[in-house]
Amino acid sequence: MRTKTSLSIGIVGAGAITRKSHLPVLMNTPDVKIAWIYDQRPETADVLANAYGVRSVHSTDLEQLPACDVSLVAIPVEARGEYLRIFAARGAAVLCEKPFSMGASEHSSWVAKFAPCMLGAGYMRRFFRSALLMRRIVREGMFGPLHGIDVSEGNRSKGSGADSSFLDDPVLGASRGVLADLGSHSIDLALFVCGADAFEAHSSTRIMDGTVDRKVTAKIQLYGTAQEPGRPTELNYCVSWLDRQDNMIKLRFPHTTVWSGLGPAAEVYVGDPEHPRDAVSLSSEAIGATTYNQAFFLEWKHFLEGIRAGQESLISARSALLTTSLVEALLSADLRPP
Amino acid sequence: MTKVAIIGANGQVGAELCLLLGKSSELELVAVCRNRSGSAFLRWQGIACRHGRVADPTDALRLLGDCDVIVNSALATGTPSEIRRTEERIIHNIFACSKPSATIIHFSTQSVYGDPRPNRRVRRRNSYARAKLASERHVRAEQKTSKKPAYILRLGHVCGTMQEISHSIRESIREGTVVLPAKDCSSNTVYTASVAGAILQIMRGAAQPGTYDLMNAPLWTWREVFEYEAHRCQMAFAPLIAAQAPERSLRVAGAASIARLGASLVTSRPLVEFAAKAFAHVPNTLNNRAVAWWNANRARREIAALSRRQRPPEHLSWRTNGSNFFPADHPTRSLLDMWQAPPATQTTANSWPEDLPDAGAKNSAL
Repeated sequence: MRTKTSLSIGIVGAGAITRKSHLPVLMNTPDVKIAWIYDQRPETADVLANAYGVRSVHSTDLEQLPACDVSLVAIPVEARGEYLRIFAARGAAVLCEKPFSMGASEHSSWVAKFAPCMLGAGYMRRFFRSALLMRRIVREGMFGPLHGIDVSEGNRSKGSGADSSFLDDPVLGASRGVLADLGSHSIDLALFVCGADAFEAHSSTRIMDGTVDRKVTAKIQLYGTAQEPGRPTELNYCVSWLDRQDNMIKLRFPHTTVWSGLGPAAEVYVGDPEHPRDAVSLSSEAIGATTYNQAFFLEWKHFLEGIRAGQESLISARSALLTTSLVEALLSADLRPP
Repeated sequence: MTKVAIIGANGQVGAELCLLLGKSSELELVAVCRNRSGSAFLRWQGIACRHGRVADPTDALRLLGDCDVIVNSALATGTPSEIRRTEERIIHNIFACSKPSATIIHFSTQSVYGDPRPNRRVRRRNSYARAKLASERHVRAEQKTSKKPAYILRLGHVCGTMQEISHSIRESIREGTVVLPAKDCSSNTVYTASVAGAILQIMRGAAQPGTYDLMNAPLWTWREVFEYEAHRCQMAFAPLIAAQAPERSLRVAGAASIARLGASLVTSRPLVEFAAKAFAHVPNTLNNRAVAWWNANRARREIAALSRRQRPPEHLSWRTNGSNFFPADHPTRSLLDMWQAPPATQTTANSWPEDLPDAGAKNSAL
């Protein structure tokens, strides 16, 4: 258990997610000190570090990275292994951006190298107010057993806003596809809300742009504690960078449907999604995020509190293992179309 | 056949224009995107693309060197100084790397007219508007040097099958949550069909070079826009009409103006805008620091406001813009009847075409 009040953070990766989300939030998080920023591209690290008034480090030998209590690893998934090995050996905690891993066995092997409170996965949507409210509805059985979930997310691609993007490398295939990059968030949200602990992927269709998936549709059966005994919850899932989706999560109960948008400010409704004007809006006193900055703040707050208390947080990497397994299953080629 | 390049082809407006113009037998479309993840939608819809950075002169030559009409629909991103420099480079390369006979169409915005809110005596321009106005000046300067015909089209709010405005209007109609102001204001909107129509008109030489406001012809009110969208999605339209605000006496209006002026000084908005303007001319390091400061402050405000609600949009009461309207040869309604872009949801037989070949060296204008 850690007893230090103030924790030092070392940041690996000076890309857009660090610049726009993690750093602004960490600068406003109590009892945190940004110790250093590192990026393989020294000039990128320098520019960001200079902008925020923190220190950048340059090293070709990763073992020489300075000490820190916690590291944010915000670099593409296939480049993280060496950093995780080094931080595990040092006993430092790590928060990894999503997707945590491209395979369940690799995911499990990293989880085994850290104490549960010391390794986090950046599925910050778990802290959206709507997500916390829907999870509570399912757990407490307010509308009866959960029969089904419909999740659809995405829109047509409108570019990365950059001349080049880490998503442009087709050689890396699936880790650059819509399912791993965007879909892992909504897969995780569905699993988080319904509290499933196992799944059976029945069918999956992918639209491929060479080696990169641009749209994935799937039918999955989920098993866990919130369902009727012997009756799995049916998950209809779609994620796309090619066409506009509903961008909603719908929970189907025996006599009603509960649904919400996928953005942080989304309201939760009860009724018939086909007649939204007749729906009832739910509100909750539960603290949750209604903006992305709030979600990132709550992610860090819970993770750091978990480290200080030696307790597994809501975003532990261990709790995200099922997400990685399901993404991996849907990316495997041997599932039939729905 | 006339070769028409669209720069920023995967943008919100550019993509719908590609789908519309791609059906025309009068032209050969060259969709230009910066990267393949961005062009995925167009390629899925069977639109072959060229990939590269028009801001880079070498790329610009191979992307644009054989095109007769070049439509600049690009939107630079980054810090104010990055946006300014990138837009300058793009505009310069469009003129420098296109054929000597090329026609240039540059998309600008109604934002150049300044603060759209009603009852503002001084219509201050935000940094986006100033950047777009600066781009217009660059286009005119390049036009003078190159003698190439150039059209600056100040687009209204762009509506269309794939446009966010139309989508949100349809959603509000579907949900029965439409509230319209008592005074039915001009909407300053332009449908993509009208934009495509203007491009074809320019391509045919049926309009003089110059700076135009491109809006629906004739102008549509917001109620007409909502009624059209309701008709398109076959939904009943029953808006709630908001009560008209009472007229204020001159004295009250004057006091309110002074109070508003005082408040705006206190919140330092002019200072913020002045700083944004100034930052476009200072080194990138300072720009990055300023953006970092802004990001951190926004995060602080949002964290402090964990329980606050969002405010509703106010654009339905924005003031009417425009004085020199593009001389459209067809009313928007008839263009919409001719040019509806289908909702793109299916894989087509032409999906994922090969990239278009680069412009040949023989067409080089350099």
